[in-house]
Amino acid sequence: MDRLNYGLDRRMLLAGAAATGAVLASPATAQAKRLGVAWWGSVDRARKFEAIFAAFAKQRPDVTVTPAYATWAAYWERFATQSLGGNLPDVIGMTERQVQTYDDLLVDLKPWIDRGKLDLSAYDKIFVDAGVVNGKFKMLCTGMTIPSLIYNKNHLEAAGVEPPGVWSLENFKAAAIKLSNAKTGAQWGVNDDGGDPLVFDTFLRQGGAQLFTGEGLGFTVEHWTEWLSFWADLRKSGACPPPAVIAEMQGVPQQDTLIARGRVSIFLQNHNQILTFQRYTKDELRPALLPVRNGGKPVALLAGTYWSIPRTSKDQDLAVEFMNFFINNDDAIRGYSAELGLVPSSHGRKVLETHLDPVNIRLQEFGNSVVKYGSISAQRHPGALQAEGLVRKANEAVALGGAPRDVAQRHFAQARSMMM
Amino acid sequence: MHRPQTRLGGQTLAAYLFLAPWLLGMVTIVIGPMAASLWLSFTRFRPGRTPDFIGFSNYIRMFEIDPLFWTSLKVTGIYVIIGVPLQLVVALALAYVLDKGIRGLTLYRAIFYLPSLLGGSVAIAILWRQMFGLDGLFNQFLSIFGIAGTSWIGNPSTALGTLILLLAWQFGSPMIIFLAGLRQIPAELYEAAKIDGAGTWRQFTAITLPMLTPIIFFNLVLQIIHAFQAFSSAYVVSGGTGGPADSTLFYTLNLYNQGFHYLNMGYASALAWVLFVIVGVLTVVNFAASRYWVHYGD
Repeated sequence: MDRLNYGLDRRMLLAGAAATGAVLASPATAQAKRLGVAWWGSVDRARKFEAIFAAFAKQRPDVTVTPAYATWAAYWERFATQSLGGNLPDVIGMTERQVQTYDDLLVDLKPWIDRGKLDLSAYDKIFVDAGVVNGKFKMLCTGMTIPSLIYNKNHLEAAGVEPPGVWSLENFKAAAIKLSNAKTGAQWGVNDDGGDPLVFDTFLRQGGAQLFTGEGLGFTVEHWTEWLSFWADLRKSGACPPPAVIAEMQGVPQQDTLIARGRVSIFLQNHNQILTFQRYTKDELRPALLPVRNGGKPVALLAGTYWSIPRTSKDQDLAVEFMNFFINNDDAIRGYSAELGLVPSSHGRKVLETHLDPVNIRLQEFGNSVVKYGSISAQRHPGALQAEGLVRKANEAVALGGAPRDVAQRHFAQARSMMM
Repeated sequence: MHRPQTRLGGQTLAAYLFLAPWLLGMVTIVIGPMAASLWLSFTRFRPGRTPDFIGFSNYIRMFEIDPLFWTSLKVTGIYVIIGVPLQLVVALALAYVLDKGIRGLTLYRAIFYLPSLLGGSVAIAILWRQMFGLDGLFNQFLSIFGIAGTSWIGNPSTALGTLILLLAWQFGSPMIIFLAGLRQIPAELYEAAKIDGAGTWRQFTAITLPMLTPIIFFNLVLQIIHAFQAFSSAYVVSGGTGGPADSTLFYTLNLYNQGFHYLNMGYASALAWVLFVIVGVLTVVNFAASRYWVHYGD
């Protein structure tokens, strides 16, 4: 008893209770609301988002935003666990890759659009439609990135290679070889990106096929063989890094990628990634459309970044209010600029006309100039989460000596089984 | 008659009360999830969906359809078969040297134990990546002798070797146990052997090794279980892919990817139960075989 009294005497208990009561009774705390927001991306993106949260707090001082961000892979790992535990944050980053899998967990946003709480009046129709999943509006597009050819302008000038407008695959190969042989400071002309699913998807769309559909695979063994053969030839010419180097690059931070370190002159990656790569190199990086296959037409694959709200969110009105602020408030739009790629609303693009820095201007101009070739990335069958990895594995298998046709056949059969 | 029973009942109750937190934890965070995962292993289950009962389909898929199951089993098997004996040999060798009463023994013991404390942690795996990469320290060392190295972690024929080396490097824990075991061997056995003219090697094979077999067995069982559970080293070194060409696709990494990347939670549960059975069977076999080579000196 003595010890109990020592640990918690009456005076302390009363003081504690009074203090707690006072805190609970204060008007600010009584209305305090928390809004969890989660996304993937770099530290740089997190800084930009934090500034947007601060701007939102000026409008809603009673709301505290709890941010949670991680790298792409870590974000989805955490997402899976949180979705099972029913404790997803109120506003969550989403893409067309995962939405078919998590569809049942997400709130239909249409009632808020109908009530004017989520204002999409300045949105291009294509970007509104991109968020519709099985007839319901489950995702709000916040930006569209375009898998692109990112080139080191300084290297191209040093090698006497003309900057790409829209290269054919042959022009691309010739430029890569020329860059490899020139003294640019880089070791290889082009990164080995035959294993990038979005780059492969763009190649497929140039000929009317596509990587995945909502039901399964959208291409054939012949498509894959052609693609793998092209990269095998390029590799043979010495224009690409050897497979061991590519394997070593898996999962490295962006500052260690071959383009950021100046070891390759051309890198095929989402165009908004230039913002990050550019921070680590003094050379000027520029985007261009991906090279076009024989007889194909240029394609700008539009891969979206979206916000969604999980059914488990306790304050869905507040979550919608934040999303509306994010896409329509001028300060918020200036905050992320071209960070998420092409801005989906005409109002947003207008705001950015007078705001952007040179790198963001380049990205925005590029996005605006190629959107006419736009092709929205498909919402995928859940099995695509695993099958997507086979694009990298097949490319690696050919790089390690496999015959393109055999590899394509084997991996195609595996991919199909994953869609069942 | 009644009084002692009451006291015993009171003691039993008290014992259970003290055990209650552990029991509660055991039931809610070990046995409960294990039972749930056993049930899930017979279902198709993705987050956000209700599990669909599919009988043994996940197990059939594992053995008959999914090539990654066999690949990951092979990779883990090689890792265990080569890595664990290598680790134990290094541990025993260092324990043997330390047991000879060298000066500064405590310091050496602490230094040698350090890698085990850091272990296969993420930080060490990142360090490993830096050491065995194309521009890594190891290749810089080789370049002194004019040897052009490869990317040891990017090459399918050497990547697993670097992870085995990382396992062997974590010899501290078995080393400490070996050291304790060596201290238990009666000195008079060595004295008698010396008088009979036995050299160091003969003493080692005729006295040290046989007397140490219970400790070797203990370390072997523990390290095999530990090696089967290896995950973070392969996850970090391969960037989560198990590459290059699935050469570092540990069983646990495949399980993790199935569950948390591909969201095949039911299939991942089935993989977990098969791993549980494999480790259980191996441990039973180890115990059965121990009758033929472990000497308890009784």
